Amino acid sequence: MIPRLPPAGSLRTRILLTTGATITVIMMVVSWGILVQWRQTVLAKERSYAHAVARAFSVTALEALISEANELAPAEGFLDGYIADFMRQNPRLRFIAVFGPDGGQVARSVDGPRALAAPPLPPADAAADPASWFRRHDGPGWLLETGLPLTTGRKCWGSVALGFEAESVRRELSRIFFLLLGLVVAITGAMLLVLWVLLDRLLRSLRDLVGAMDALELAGDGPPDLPARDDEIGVLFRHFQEMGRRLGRSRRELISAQEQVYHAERLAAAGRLAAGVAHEINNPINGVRHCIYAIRSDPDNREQTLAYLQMMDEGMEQAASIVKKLLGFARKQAPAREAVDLNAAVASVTRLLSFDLERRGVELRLDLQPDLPAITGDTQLLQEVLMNLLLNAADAADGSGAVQLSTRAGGDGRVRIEVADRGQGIAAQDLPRIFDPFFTTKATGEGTGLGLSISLGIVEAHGGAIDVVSEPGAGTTFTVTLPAEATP
Amino acid sequence: MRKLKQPLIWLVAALFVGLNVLVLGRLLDLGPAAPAATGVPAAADARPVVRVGVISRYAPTLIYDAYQPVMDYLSAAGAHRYELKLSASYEDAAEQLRRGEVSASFFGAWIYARLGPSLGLAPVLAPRGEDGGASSRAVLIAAAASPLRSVADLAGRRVALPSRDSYAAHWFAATCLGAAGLAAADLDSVHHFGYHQTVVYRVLDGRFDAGVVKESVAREFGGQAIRVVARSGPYPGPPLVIRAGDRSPALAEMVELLLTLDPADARDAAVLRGWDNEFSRGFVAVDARTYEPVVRLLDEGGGP
Ligand SMILES: Nc1ncnc2c1ncn2[C@@H]1O[C@H](COP(=O)(O)OP(=O)(O)OP(=O)(O)O)[C@@H](O)[C@H]1O
Ligand SMILES: [Mg+2]
Repeated sequence: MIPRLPPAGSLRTRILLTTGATITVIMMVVSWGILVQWRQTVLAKERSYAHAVARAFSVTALEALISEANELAPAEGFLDGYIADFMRQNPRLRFIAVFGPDGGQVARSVDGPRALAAPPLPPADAAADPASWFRRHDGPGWLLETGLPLTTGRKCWGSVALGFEAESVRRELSRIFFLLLGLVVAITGAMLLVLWVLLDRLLRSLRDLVGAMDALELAGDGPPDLPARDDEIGVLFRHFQEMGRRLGRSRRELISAQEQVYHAERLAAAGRLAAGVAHEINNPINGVRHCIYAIRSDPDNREQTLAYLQMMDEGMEQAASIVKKLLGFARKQAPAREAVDLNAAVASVTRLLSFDLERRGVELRLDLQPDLPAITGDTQLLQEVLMNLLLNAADAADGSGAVQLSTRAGGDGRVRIEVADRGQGIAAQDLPRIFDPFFTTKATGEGTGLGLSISLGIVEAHGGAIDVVSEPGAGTTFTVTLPAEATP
Repeated sequence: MRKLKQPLIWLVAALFVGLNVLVLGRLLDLGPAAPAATGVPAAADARPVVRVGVISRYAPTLIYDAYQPVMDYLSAAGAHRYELKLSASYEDAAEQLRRGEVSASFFGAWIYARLGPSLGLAPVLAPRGEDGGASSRAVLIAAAASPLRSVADLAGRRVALPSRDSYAAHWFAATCLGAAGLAAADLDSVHHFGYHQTVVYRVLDGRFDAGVVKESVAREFGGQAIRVVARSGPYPGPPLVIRAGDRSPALAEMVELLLTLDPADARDAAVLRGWDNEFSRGFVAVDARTYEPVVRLLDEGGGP
């Protein structure tokens, strides 16, 4: 039995995985972009803040350096006091250092609980623009350090270096990161949830459809029952229902076509009969003519006339019986259930066909087993089968020999009728199709391709079978097997 | 093919996660690493130093803004390194010059006249004035919107003056007021500032009704905000002073470099444009005789 849908729903898993991965990748890339941009903005803001503070500090530091160089020193310890005051006013400062033009340290902030223990280095290039950089120190962690040269004109008085705590910047960056991460997870989760629900509904509809397909019976009437929907699934349902309806219609058409074929075959058989019938009736009529001619030539011979009249009577009787048979064959009757003597049936069919076979130079050899058990069935229909087989054999053996017809009683209570010819045989590729209605290899007008199809229908209706053995170029043997107690 | 696909997907996923961790690690860090902080200063200038004195009457940074470009020019064009040397007073400056601590000093005309001759100092050059000589002028200014029209209107007004040791302050007290028939007592108040620019600021902010400054400073502020009420006659401008008879080559180089600056020459004009407004026309050679009128004035009336 085919499972309705794979249990794990591998389609759903795959869609969810692929979509989840895609969304995650896209969101991560977008987050990177935002993070990079945000980071740049934050760091630039920090840098410009540091530069501004350093510039503000440097004005007075420069003045102090100039005064000192010119021995105009204002108050003793002015620079140290200024640095301490500046540190107090700006809580983010971790150190301030002032360097002379030779790079030697002139003054610096005092180490304290939030100040730096290791002496900072002067900026690499004192003459360069204000430079700033982040550096990690053992104690206070990340610091934003900025260096600013102290110059007037082309004269360099030294430089200042200021260090600001930058751990808060780092914290801000990681807060942004976790915010973005949370967003990615939330959005991805929400999208997957929505997708899951949608997929679930889709798959349920598919399951409905599969169920309806399984329930569709060819014998049943009416389209399969499915809920009405106005989406693509609904379209699928409607098309499936339409298909069910078409199947029902074509089944009904097939049945009526079969009935038509059945009638056509009966007509064709009647046509075939006509030739034989004409001959059968012609024979007695010729005999009667011959008698009339003989009587006319010697009307006075009373004895002879009586004998001829007797012969004429017999001939008329024969003709009358032929007409009666023909009437019985052509009349459409319900299949009868009667005891059938197959040997008798064979005899009456061969009698009908003997003229035709003789004309075509086909010798018919009969090998009938005497006291053949009677079977139950319709004599007329079975005669039709025999006639079809004999005509086919005669067509195949045309002008080149004999057709052998034999009847045998099998040990299993079955009766076998064998029709064998030495004709051209059946090509291997045609063999599976010879029982198809309208399959024929004969020229138009000569064969309808209905004979075997009708015959098989009749034999199967009697609970029997038709077997065929054929060798191209060597001949063909059809064997009809009928149960002794066959019922149509 | 299907067999290969599965591990490949896992590999790509692992690579993606790894890349993520790497990039995020870098983004969350604050690096890049600090530039190598060597602390090595720009190659030291080993040339002999020539010191030039300036009197520090106001903020040292302002003095450097005005005079350091001159030193930069001399150092770049000459064979010596020229350095400014600030001094707290004219007396200190004169003393430094006399002792040889500085080779030359920027003096005011008035102060030179007062100290120079007695200490054996000599002027060598002064800023070129508008007449092409060493002349300078002082002006009485008022705010553009002020009702002051003439010196005579000054009665009962507050007047801002430069240093007592400046020719401008002296001109106002000795000549300007007298010519208008006023005396110092007719004024509401008089205050001396160390810096000519300060005088202009005080007049502009309305704390003083009028002020006296060097004409070059008045010109710096343009004609919109301030208005010239009276103008002195020409007098010799502030000289660069040396020890009389000093023939050292460094000094000769300095004088030579400054005197050859020609405002008509495009290159020199570019140099002068970066300097204080007073030096915009370059310099002319002067000697003790140039300042004799000032000395005479000093002898006659003394300071304001
Ligand atoms: N004994 C035979 N020998 C060779 N071919 C045969 C024989 N019997 C049947 N056939 C092949 O099977 C085909 C189908 O036979 P069938 O009796 O159904 O139709 P038909 O004989 O062609 O036409 P008709 O409707 O007139 O009988 C024939 O056209 C022929 O090719
Ligand atoms: Mg046939």
